[in-house]
Amino acid sequence: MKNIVVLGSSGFIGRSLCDQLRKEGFQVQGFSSKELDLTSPDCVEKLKKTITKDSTVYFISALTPDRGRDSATLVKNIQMAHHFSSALQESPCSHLIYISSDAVYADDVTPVNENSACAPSTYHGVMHLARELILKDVTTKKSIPFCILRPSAVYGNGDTHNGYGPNRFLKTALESGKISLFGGGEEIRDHVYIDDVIHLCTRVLKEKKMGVFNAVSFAAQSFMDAACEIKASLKNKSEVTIETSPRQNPVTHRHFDGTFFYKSFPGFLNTSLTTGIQNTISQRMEK
Amino acid sequence: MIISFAGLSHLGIVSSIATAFKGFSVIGFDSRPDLIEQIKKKNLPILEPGLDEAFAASFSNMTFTSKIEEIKNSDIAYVSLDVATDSSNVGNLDPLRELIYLLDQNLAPKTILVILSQLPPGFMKTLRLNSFREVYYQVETLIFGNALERALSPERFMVGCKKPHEELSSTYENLLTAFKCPILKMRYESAEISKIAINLYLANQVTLTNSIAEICSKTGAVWSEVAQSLKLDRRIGPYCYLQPGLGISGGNIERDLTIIAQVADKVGANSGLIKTSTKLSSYHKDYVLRVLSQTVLQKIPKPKIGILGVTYKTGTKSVKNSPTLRLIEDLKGYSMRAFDPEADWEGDWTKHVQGTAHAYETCEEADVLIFMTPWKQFLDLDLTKLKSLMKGKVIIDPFSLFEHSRMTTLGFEHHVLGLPEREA
Repeated sequence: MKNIVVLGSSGFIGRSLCDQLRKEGFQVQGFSSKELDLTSPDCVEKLKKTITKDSTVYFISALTPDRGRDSATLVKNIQMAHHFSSALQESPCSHLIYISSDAVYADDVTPVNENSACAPSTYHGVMHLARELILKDVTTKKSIPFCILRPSAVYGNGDTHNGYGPNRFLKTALESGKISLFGGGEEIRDHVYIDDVIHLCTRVLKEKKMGVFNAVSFAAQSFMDAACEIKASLKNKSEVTIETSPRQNPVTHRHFDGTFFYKSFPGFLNTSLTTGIQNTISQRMEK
Repeated sequence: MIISFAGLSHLGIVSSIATAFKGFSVIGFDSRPDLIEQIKKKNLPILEPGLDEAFAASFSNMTFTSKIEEIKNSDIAYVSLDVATDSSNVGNLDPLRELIYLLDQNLAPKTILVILSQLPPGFMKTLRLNSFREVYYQVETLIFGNALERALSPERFMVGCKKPHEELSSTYENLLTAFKCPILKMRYESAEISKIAINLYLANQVTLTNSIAEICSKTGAVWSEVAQSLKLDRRIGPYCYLQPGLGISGGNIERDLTIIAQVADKVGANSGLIKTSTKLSSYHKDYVLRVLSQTVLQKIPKPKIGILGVTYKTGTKSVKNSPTLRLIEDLKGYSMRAFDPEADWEGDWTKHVQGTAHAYETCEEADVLIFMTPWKQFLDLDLTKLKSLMKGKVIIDPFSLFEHSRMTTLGFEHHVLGLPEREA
């Protein structure tokens, strides 16, 4: 049985991934930031002891924008990758899977594919791109198979971030009966369901994939669409009002081109926004 | 007047027959004796509409040889070898260069040498030929599937000359005049760029048509309704490439896109548009894969896929850069059957797909049927029978071979490039 190490096991993706991997019978060692502080140089020795040549490592841990949208957070995030990379130098693994973000792409590119130019406009995007480079460097030097997944905005149960999108909409709809949109919610974005990201993460492991893949739904919809889906899904449970506001910024859209993904993961079934939202609501109701 | 054609690939065969058809005595030369024997038996290795008939009608004006000395005293010797390209669309010029030098060394001094093969910019300048030899570069603009007609009735001749301000040799001029079209003299470099410029315009027409057709599909517009107004616009016109398709294939236009981008990069010109055209062509080539993934592969476990048409276009046996081959490569491991009325059934791709003897056999138990090449023969298929043979109802018909309303009435889920996706 493979030895799986998950760095960032208490976050939205990390927690769901650990649950799934354990369900499938994998031996998983998960580390949250409390258990292993990657920003501290002390983590290197612990990582070296944990990672073996048979390990598959998921590097998910990051200080997300809700923890800081500033240069200090950027530096800490890069330090985390630097420390991890130092450990890999001396203790290489058999497969590294890095969870990056679609924030690495230029804002004005659509449809985005895996070859689209990377020109991030945020610290978050710069952080992921810098980390990709750091990890590419060490994996090349140590001949470690390396896979990068770049998810778009992930939604579903267990989200720890409360970012603008379906998760926040659902939360406020349930708490206050309101969904507040920026402008008219016209922006089209790719909202990817957490189960699909986890499914992709495990498939990448089982097929020992290398290279860059966008982890998205390939069925982008507007924020207004997402709000309406939530409202419709809750219609028998509570009354929801969708509030729009005067637009502050120009409308931009982002779609993804699935051609490379379809070739790489034949038969992969993405969850529609409607089903994803309904699943999220019913799971939440069960709880 | 004796006109010889050296290099009997597609270009040489079509051009030599067209010249003989105009009444000239023609010698076809190729160093491959087996090819010469095959042609002597009136068995042409290529498919072009009307070519067999024109060959039969002009056969008495033609002789064929694999011996260079037999074309030594030609009045004009054409170098008519097609430049083969590799998988990166880079042309291999070595065989062409060897042939040119072979002819220059063996032809009589009076024989005019006309290079008809596809040349990259700057090629003519690199040749070191006997100084007494008259040498021209005549730009060819044949189209696979319509080559004979274009060879017999060219819109114009573009002739690259060493001294464009001087008269053409009268022998050469007499030959060209028989085709009754304008003769444009220009320097070698201009002729080389003219050839590529034509293909770049065509590539961009194809790319633009496909891009707008995709937008139509996603916005509820119907491309054919848009195209009719474009055809009547004098600035665009009826001959513009306004039929959406699966990107640029066949190898020739891709070769020119590749070479001109390289030249532009080398001289510091902006090649952005050209590179974009290449990228978009690749994207358009994957149209079927995207539709197939969304409609079948993500919904049906282990689907059976029927493919009708393998050649990169109708009227040819060629599968060079064919979108079908790319699709088959991408679908390796799936159950696939395919049929094509003419394709050269050779190559690695044949291992991944089961060839059938008839289109109906391809449809049996298929979850999805894809019309990859718009062969007219497919229009004769009995659609009711086809429906009863298929297990599924998804038809991907990028070229709109069948009328959409008829297909939906018959119960098919009919996907067409340029038709609203939601109405499939």
